Amino acid sequence: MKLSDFIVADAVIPELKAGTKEEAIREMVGSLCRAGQIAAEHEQTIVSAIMKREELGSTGIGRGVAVPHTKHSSVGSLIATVALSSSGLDFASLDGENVYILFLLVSPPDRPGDHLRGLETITRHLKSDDFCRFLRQSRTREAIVDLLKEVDDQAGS
Amino acid sequence: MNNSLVFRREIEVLLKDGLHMSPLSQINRLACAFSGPVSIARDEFIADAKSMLDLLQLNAVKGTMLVVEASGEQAQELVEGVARLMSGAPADGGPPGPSQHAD
Repeated sequence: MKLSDFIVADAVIPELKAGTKEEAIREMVGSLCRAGQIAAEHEQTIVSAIMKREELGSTGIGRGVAVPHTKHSSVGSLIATVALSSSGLDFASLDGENVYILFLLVSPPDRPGDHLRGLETITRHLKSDDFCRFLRQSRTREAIVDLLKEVDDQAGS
Repeated sequence: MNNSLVFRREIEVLLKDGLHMSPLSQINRLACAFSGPVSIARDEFIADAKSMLDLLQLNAVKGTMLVVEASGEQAQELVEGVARLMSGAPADGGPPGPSQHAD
């Protein structure tokens, strides 16, 4: 699986306006909605489901990264977006550090394997210090999308 | 007690949705509280169970066979706790928790 298989380029956010976890999740789901990947009528339900999931345990996994996610029957395949926060967000992460890189995933309930493969693909790249550094240095949507494409190509070669 | 004790066990993932983030977080907590090294291997890939980034790369759907290995005092108890979490039971072997489910 490649990042570009499920990350919606038009929904990528190079600098979050959000100052809190909930605002960030709302902004990212809204971006997927504006990109035409989530129907407006499901936007609030999806935000609520992701927040409920966060209450059961933060998806801040360390290294300044969080992967908020949920299942929702309105999506036909795994979709995701990436967002950056240069000032960092308090995500109640496992390591107690702020979050600067967010990958938000929404997957169909009947495709748990796709969700796991998406997480595997994201975290495999996040293990690379270079990838994390270049991602955090990206200032535009185009730069982020180009970087994702570049690591996809490297992984496929 | 023998600190060099290594305990290894092959375990099948029995969770309906596979080894997703919630059970992985619980496994990570168990591993981090353990004094010795803990690894979970899937084929050639070996995850350090004290790293969530590693654990999330296991990509283990239901039915996947994983090899869990721990070294140190009470290594067997640790591995058995991980096995219980992979089958959907609480790590301490107690009754199943509340039905609230996280992906």
